[in-house]
Amino acid sequence: MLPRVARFIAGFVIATIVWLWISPLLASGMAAATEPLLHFDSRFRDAEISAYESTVSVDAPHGTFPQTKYPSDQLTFNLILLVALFASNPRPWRGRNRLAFLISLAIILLLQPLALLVTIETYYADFTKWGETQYGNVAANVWLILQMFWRLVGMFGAVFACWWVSPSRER
Amino acid sequence: MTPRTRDQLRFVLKFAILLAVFYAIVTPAPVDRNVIIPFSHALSVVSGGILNLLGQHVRVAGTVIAGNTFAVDIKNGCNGIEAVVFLCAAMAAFPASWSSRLLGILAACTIVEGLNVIRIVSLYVIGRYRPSAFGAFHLAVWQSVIFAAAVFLFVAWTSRVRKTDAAARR
Repeated sequence: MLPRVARFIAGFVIATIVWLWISPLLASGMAAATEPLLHFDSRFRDAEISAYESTVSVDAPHGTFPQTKYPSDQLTFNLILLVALFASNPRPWRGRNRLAFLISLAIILLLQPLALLVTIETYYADFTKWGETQYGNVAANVWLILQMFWRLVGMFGAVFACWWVSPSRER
Repeated sequence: MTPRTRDQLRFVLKFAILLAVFYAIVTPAPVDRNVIIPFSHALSVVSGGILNLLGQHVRVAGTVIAGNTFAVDIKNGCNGIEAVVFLCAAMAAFPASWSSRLLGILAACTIVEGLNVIRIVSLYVIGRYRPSAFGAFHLAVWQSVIFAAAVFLFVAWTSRVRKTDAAARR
């Protein structure tokens, strides 16, 4: 157990430093991937999502909805745990572990635009006057529950599930 | 598909369902009002007591720990309940006897909440003396550490349960 913990700590420290460094890049990627998803909602058909450093902005060029900003690093820091868990595996550099890590990384990165989409919908549905006229009570509650579930347990639960099923975890 | 893969996928499916179920149990407003907020207040009292022992001169009001120049509010997401929910879901989804599960949940949750008190105390100290580092520690470092601790406690528990089951079969 101790070597595993030592590898985990090393992975955790490196991942935290790298995450702080690449957060603006992750924010840009999330903004680009989330914009077409948000357009599926007719209320946001002309929405533009941009990123500056780690903050994502949602703008309406024609003023159809209010602008908002969100610190996107709140949705990406589960990558630190992902890297640290795979670093804790026995012989972390061998091909099988690297492959399992890359597949898990792809899954987590694919989930991030969905998480940002849910966050944006939640903000407008539950925290704006504009949203009161656009969303029903049920819709507003569903968005809020989804967002809180993801932020509090889902984002780490997904990381754990990816690591747990990886064949390189045990040997 | 190998039996091992099938078992793991079954575990992950059960885990995901139980995570949603346990989360749904702790979320409603009456539970929040009558269980979660009083629990957060208890954490604030313990953490405030430790901070006072460390000479920080803080006051506790509800879920807020306040000094003269800095204050922290123990909100949902900072009280360790999310890690407790995770542990309950993972241990309930893993094949083991109910007594092993209950003992594991009790021990692991106690350790996680102990670690959470250290998180609160350290965040107060960081916020007071190094406010620029507070954001990174509050968000990325401590959240990840709490969940990492939960994952390691779960892994340690599974290996113990496997050994116990193997010994019982002999």
